[in-house]
Amino acid sequence: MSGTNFDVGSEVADFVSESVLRCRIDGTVTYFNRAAEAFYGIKAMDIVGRDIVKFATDRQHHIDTWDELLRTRTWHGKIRRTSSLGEPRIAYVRRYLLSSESGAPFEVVEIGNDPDYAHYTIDPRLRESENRNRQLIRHMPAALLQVDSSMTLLAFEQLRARGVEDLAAYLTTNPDQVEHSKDVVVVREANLAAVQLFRAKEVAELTKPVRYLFAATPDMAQRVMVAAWEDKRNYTEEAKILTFTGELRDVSFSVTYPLLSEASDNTFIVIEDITERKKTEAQLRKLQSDYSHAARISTLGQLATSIAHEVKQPLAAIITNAETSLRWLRKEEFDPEKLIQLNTKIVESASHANNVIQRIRAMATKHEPSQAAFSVQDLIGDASVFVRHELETKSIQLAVELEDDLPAIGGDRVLLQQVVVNLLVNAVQAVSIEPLDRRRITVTGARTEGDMISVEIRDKGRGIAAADMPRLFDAFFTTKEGGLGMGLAISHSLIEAHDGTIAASNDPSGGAVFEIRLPSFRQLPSEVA
Amino acid sequence: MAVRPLIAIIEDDDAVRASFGELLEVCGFDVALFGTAEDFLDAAALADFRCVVTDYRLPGMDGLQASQQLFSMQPDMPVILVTSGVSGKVADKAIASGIKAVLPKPVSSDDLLEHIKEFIGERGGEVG
Repeated sequence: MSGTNFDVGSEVADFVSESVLRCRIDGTVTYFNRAAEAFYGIKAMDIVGRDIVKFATDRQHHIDTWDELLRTRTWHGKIRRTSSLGEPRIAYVRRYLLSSESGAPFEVVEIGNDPDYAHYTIDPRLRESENRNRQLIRHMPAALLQVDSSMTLLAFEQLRARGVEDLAAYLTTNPDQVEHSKDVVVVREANLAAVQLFRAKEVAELTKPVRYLFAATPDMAQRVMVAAWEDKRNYTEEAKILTFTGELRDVSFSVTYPLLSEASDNTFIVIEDITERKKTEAQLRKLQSDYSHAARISTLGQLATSIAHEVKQPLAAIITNAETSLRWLRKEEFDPEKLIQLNTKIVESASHANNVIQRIRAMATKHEPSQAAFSVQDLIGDASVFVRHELETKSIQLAVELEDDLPAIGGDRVLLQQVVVNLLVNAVQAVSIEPLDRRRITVTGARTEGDMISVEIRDKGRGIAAADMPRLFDAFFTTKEGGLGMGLAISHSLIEAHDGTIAASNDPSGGAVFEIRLPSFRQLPSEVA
Repeated sequence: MAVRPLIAIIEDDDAVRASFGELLEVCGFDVALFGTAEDFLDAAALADFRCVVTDYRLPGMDGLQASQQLFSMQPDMPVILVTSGVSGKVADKAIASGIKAVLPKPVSSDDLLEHIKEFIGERGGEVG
């Protein structure tokens, strides 16, 4: 048996500086070296032959870690023993479960050290690699904090023992528990980037209870705790932190939890400063919004004649009806019915003109994207107001074919209208150089796969050249003289922002086809969530 | 009361077309309303009209083209062309082709009536 070898080993172990003890599986100590005697303040003759559990300060902790060792075959971590004189002794120990050749476990060997000097006694190569890791962590560009969360894990054990299952619900009714954790969970180490991020002068300012990490986002503490409770490996959220100089920074806050099997109390927190990125994103959004606004203004400019006509028509009707009313009033045979009829028409025309102006205003003003549900019919109806006159003067036929009972689509009505107007204007330009019998634009609306709604705009023009196809939606790509090449690029980004797609193809019978696919309203993520 | 002269109105906008109709009716005319030039030219008795008021911009055939066709059948028919934002070139072409007057939109009712009465008077007949 290999036991013989260990007897030789035990003799040697009497001369090593680490504490070494051997136990049977049931915990009976069979060997206790000199270093162990000195370190724990217990004589070998007092402990050999007795159950090791009797010397543990925290009996339950010992039983738990012993059970884990029997399951996983190795265990390392901090333990507390009480010396013969009743003094507390804390050690960092590594325990190994030894098995016979048949695989049956027969003995436990425990090697221990002063917890603070654990790394000095490890294999020099390991020590070197640890030093390298320390250097790496110290100088890595992201802020890294090592947190001792043992107190929380202990609290979790107690809560579980009391039958708590849903920690989120428990913490909501017991917010004191979260506040308490902010004081007892402590940052043990922090790197230079963390010092910089918090505008501190030295690491020592950061090694204190974690409360300061949650100063600007207090609710996050609860979410971090719940993720640990649920045995997650990682938890990340975008949050704000308050620096020691009182500045708010946007950060990505990531927590990596120890797994149970690692028997470690070390939780790592990586905090990445994303303030600049957020700022850039906001600028980008503004730029996109400015671009789409500029494109709308440009479209309105192109359609100025059309739009003017849309307002002039109802105004012409109002003027004529008002003058006719005056003529009736001046007549001797006064007909009130006629006047009611004429004035009703005036009101109708005025409200029609008002509607047209509202639509133009919506297109012309900058606005924050909004969410609303509306029908495909309304979308196409709104858009065609802007090109109706264009269609008439160029003798272009517009056919709208909508499937019955199409579900509503959702999103920003003006932005989607902008896309349809843009595609209609392109189609108008494509067919207006064709002979009269080909001046036809067909708009179809239909359900398509995945609960999406397809809106197709099909013209009878010359179609899209194969060479242009791949670059069609690129910014600054244009085939029009004096064109900016922004229309389709903006349409593309607007449709993508609505979780939709836009694609171009050529109709085999001639002409271009643009297809927009948009999710039906009930299916939008915001609705599902 | 004498027979009311019949005037044809060709205008694609429903509200504008109806308003012309109302105006001419109160002033003692009968009106026939058409949404397109094609519908007008299909009308059975073109000769019954005493005057034609047509919009220039129409879906399909425009006001000028409609007048050409009308003149080939009724060379003396008085035609008033109503335009919105049309170039002087179109107005010149209209007058050259035999159209009696070109009026900008929105049309003043006094202007329109004055012209209609004048043209009907030229052809003879009473005005209400």
